Amino acid sequence: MSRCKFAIFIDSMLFITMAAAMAMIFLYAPIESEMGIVQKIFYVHVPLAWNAFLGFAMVFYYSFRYLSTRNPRYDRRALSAAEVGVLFTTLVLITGPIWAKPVWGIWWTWDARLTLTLVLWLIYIGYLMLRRYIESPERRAVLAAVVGITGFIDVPLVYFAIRWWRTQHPQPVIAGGEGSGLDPAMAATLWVSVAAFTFLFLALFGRRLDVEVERSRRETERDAAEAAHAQGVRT
Amino acid sequence: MLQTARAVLEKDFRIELRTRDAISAALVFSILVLVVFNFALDVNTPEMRRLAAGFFWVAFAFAGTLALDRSFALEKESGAGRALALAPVDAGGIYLGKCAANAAFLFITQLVALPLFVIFFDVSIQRAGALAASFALGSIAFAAVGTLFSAVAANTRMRGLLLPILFLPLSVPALIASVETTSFALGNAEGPSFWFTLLVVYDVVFLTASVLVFEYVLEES
Amino acid sequence: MSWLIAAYSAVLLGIFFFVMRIRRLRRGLTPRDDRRSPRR
Repeated sequence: MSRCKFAIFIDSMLFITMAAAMAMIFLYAPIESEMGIVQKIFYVHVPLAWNAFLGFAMVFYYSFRYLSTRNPRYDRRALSAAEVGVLFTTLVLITGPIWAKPVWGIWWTWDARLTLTLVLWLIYIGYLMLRRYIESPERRAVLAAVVGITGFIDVPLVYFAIRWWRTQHPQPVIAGGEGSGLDPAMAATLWVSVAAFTFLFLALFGRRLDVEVERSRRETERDAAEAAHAQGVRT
Repeated sequence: MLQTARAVLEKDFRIELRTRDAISAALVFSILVLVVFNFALDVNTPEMRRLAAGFFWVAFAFAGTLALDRSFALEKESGAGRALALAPVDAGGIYLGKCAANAAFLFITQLVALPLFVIFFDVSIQRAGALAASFALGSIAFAAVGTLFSAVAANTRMRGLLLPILFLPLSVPALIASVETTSFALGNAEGPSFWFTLLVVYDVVFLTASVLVFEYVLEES
Repeated sequence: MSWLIAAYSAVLLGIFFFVMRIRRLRRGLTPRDDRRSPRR
C-alpha cells in the first residue's frame, strides 16, 4: 500500500502548502503599488501555468515511454497528465483575462505567452478528443502517444514564431510584465504558491490515475471471466 | 526507404491523374474561401491588399485539410492501408512517399490558384523566387504534419472530422511563416530570413519526427 | 476587489468540477460492473 501512503503524503503536503500560500497571499504579500489588490491573481495564475506546462511535458514523456515499452500504465499516466494539464490551462486562460482587463484595459492580447497557452490548450483538447473516438484501447494508446509527442515538439516552434511575429507587428504596450524586479516578499509568496499548486497537480493527477488503474483492473478481470465462461460453454 | 517512397509516390500520382479528386476539391474549396472573404470583408482597399497573403494561406490551410484527409481515407476505404502495413517495407518510406505526394498536390493547387488570387486581390508579385520558395516550403510543412495526422484521423470513428482539430493548432508556426514569406514575395513585408529559416526548421523537425513515429501509426490501421 | 474574487472563484469552480468528474467516473465504474450479468 505504498501508493496509499504516497497519496496521504501528497494530500497533507497539499493542505499545508495551500494554507500557507493563501495566508501569505492575503496577509503577508504587499499590495502592488500600481495594479492594486488585483495583482494577487498573479499568485494563482503563474503557478497554474507552470504546472499546466509540467503536465504537457509529462504527456510527452509518458507517450514516449509508452511507445518504447507498450506498457499500458504509461498510457494511463499520459491521459491523467493531459486531463489535469487541460484543466490548469483552462484556469490560466480564465484568470488571465480577469487580471488583464482591470490592469491593462483589455481582455486579451496576442502576446507570445498568452498565444502559446491558447495553442497548447487547443492541441491537448485535440489530444483528448482523439482519445474519445477510438474504441480499441491499444490503438487509442498508440495514436494518442503519437499526437502527444508531435504536439509537444511543436511548442518551441510556436513560441519562437509568435515571439518574432510580435516584434514585427505593433502591439499594445504592456507595462510591468511579470518578473520585472519582483519584491522579495512577493517572490517568496510566489514560490510557496508554486509548491502548493504543484502538490495540487500531483493530488489531482493521482486521483485521476487511480480511477484509470481501477478501470483497467476491472476490464481485465471481466475479460478473464468472460474467457473462462466461453471456455465453460464450449466444453 | 527511398525506393518505397518512390513507389508510393508514383501510386498516389497515378490515382490523382485518373481521378483528380484531391487537387480539384482543394482548388474549388480555396477559390470558394477567397470569394467568401471578398463578401465578408471589402478586400479592394490598399490596407486589405497588404493582408492578401494572409487570406491566401488561410484559404489553403482549410483547403489543404480536404486534400490531406483524402490521402488516408482512400487507403482506408479500399483496405489498402492494411496491405501497406503488412508489406515488408520500411514505414518511414511509405510516409515519405505519401508526404511527397501530398506536398506536390498542395503545391500544384497553389500554382493553379495563384492567377485567380492575383486577379481577385489585385496584388503584384515582386519576388518570384521567394514566392516559389514560400509555396514549396509551406506545402511541405502542411504535408509533413497533415500526412501523419491524416493517418491518425483515418483510424478514428470521426474520420476526417478530427483532422483539422488535430492539425490546425500544430500548423500555427508554419502558417505564420508561410504568410510572412508570401507577404515578402508580394512586397508587403521585410526581413524574411527568420521566416524562411523557421519554415525549413519546421519541415525538417516534423519530417524526421513523422518518419520515426509513422510505423506505430501504420501498424494500427 | 471583485475582479480578484471572480478569478479565485473561477479557479475553485474549475478544481471542484474536476474533482466531481473524478467522483462521477469512479461511481460509473462500480455499479455498472456489478450489474453486469455473466451472459456476455
